[in-house]
Amino acid sequence: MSAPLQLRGVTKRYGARVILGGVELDVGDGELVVLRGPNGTGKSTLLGCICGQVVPDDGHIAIDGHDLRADPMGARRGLRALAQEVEVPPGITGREWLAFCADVFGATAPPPDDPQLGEVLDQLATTYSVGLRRRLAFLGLCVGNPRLFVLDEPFAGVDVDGRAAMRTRLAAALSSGAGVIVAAHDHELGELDAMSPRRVDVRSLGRDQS
Amino acid sequence: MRALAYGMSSPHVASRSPLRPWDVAHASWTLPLVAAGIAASLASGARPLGVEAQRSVAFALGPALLLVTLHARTAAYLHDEGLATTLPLPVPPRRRFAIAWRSHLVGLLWQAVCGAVAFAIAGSDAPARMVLVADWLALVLTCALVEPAGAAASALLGRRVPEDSVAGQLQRAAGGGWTLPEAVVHLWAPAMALATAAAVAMPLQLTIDRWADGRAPGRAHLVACTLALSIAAVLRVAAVPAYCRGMFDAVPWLRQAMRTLAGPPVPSPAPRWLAAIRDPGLRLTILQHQRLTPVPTLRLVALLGTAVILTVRTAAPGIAELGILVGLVALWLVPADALRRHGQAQRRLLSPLPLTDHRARAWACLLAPVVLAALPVAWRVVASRVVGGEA
Repeated sequence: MSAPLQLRGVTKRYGARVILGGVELDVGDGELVVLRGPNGTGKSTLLGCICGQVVPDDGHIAIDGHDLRADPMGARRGLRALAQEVEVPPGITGREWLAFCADVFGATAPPPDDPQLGEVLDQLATTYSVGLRRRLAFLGLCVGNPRLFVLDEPFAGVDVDGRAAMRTRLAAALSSGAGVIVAAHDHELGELDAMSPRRVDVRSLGRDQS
Repeated sequence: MRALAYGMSSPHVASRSPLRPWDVAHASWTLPLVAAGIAASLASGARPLGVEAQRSVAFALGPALLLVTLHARTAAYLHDEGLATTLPLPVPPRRRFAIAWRSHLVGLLWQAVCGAVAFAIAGSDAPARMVLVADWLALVLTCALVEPAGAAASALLGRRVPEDSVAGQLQRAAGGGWTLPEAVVHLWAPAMALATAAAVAMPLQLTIDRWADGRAPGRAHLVACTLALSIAAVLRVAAVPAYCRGMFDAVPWLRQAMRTLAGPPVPSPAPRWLAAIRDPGLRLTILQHQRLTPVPTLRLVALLGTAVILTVRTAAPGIAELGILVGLVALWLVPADALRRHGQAQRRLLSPLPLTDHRARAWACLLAPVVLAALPVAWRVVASRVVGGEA
C-alpha cells in the first residue's frame, strides 16, 4: 500500500511572491502531521494544493500513490478534505448531505454518534451553527475508506463534546492506517497531543525568500 | 446509487443534489426579459422596412440576445462556487458536466421562451411571426449543442501547458498580460462557441426562410443543413471528454484568477452624498447596496430615463416597452436580494448597537425609483386607453 501523501518539490507563486518553494513532505500510514506557522506562511495554500483546489506551479502530489494531476479521480477517492470555512450547499439537510457523501465515497453513511448533531439532522444545514456545520462536514468525510485527511483548523468553533467526537473518529482513522495532515494554531495543538503528532513548521518545508 | 442510508430514496437525493449549482444567477432570469423587450422593440421598429429587413434585424438580434446571458447560463460548468467547494470530492467530471448541462439548458430554455415571445410580438402578421420564431429556435437549438464545447475548450485550455507549445503561446498572446495565462481562454472561448453556433444555424435559418417564402429548399440547402447539424452534434459529443480532461485543473486556475485579479480588493470610495444620510444603519445598508450592485447609477438612470421617454413620447407604451420597463425594474431590485439573504446575520450583528430599525426606510429608498418610474407610465397607459376608448 502506498503512503497516504507524498509531496515532491511543490512550488506555488502568486505573481512574484513565492508562497511554497519546493516543498518535500511525506505522511505515512497512521501518521498525524501538524502544520504550524504564523498567518500567511502558506499553510492553507499547501493544503489547497493537496486538495486540488490550488494548482502548484511545479512539483508532484500523490495521494495513496495516485498522482493528483495525472489521476485526479484515483487521488480523490482516498482524500477527505475539511476546509477552514465549511461551506454547506443551500437547500440540503444534514441527513441529505451525509447521504450524498455516502454516495460519492461509495459507502454507507455513518450514524451520527453525536446526539446534538442527530437532533438537527433533518434541518437545512445552512441553518446550523459554525461548529455543527464543521461536525457535519467531518462526519461526512468519515465514510468509506479514507487514506488521507486534510484538515484546516478542524476544531475552530466546535464545542467540547464535538471536539471529543471528532478526536475519537480521527484516532480510529489513524489506527486503520489513514494519514492525517492538519493545519492548526498553537491553541489547537492540545487537542491532538494524545495522538502523538509530528509537528512541522511550514516555513521549514522549503520557501524561497525572493 | 447507494444513497439509501436513513431510508432515503435515491430520486430524492438526485433532485436535491449538493452538486447542483449553488449560485443561482439572477441575471439568467432577469436579463433575458430585458434583452427580449429591447429586441422586440427594435425588431418591431423594422416592420415598415419589409419582411426581409425585419428578418435581417432579427438575425442580428438573435446572437446578441444569447450573448447577454451567455455567462449566466454557462456558469455551472466552471465558475460556480459549489463546484470549487466540492472539487476535492471524487465526483466524476462526467457527472459534473451532466449537472452543468442541465443548468445550462434551463437557462437556455428560459432565454428561448423570452426570445420567442419577443419575435412573435415583433412580426407584422402570423406567417412573419412564425418565421422569426422558427429562425430564433434554430439558433437556440445549435446553441444547445455548441455552447458546451465552449466550456469544454475553456476547461482544456484553462490548464497549465508548456510555454513553448502552441496552446501556451495562444494563452500568452490572447491575454494581453493582464490576467493569468491559464484564465485567458475564459475571455474568448464562450463567445467563440456562440459565434460558431450562429454560423452553424445559418443554413437552417436560410432553409426555413426559403420554405416560408414558398420556395422549396434545394438539395444544396438540405446538405448544408445536415452538415451544420452534424458539426453541432460532433462538437456536443466531443465536449464531454474535453471537459473531463481539463476540469480538475481549470477550476482552480480560474478561481485563482478571479481571486487575485478580478477587480481590486479595495473598493471604489463611497459616494459623497451618502454622508448626508444621518442614520448610520441606513447609511451602511445603502452603501452595501451600492457596492453589491454593478453599475447602480446606470441602472437607476436607465429605469428613470426609460420611464420619462415612455411617458412623454407620442405613442402609448406597448407590451414590448412595458416589458423593457419591467426588466429594468427587476435589474434595479434584484441585487438587493443579496442584502435580504444576509439580512438575518446582519441584524444579529447590529442588534446590540444603539441603532433604530432602519429596514423600512431602506426598502423605501430602494422602492422609490420604482414608484417614480411606474406611476407616470401607468398613468400614460390608462390615459391612452381612456382617450382611445372615447375616440
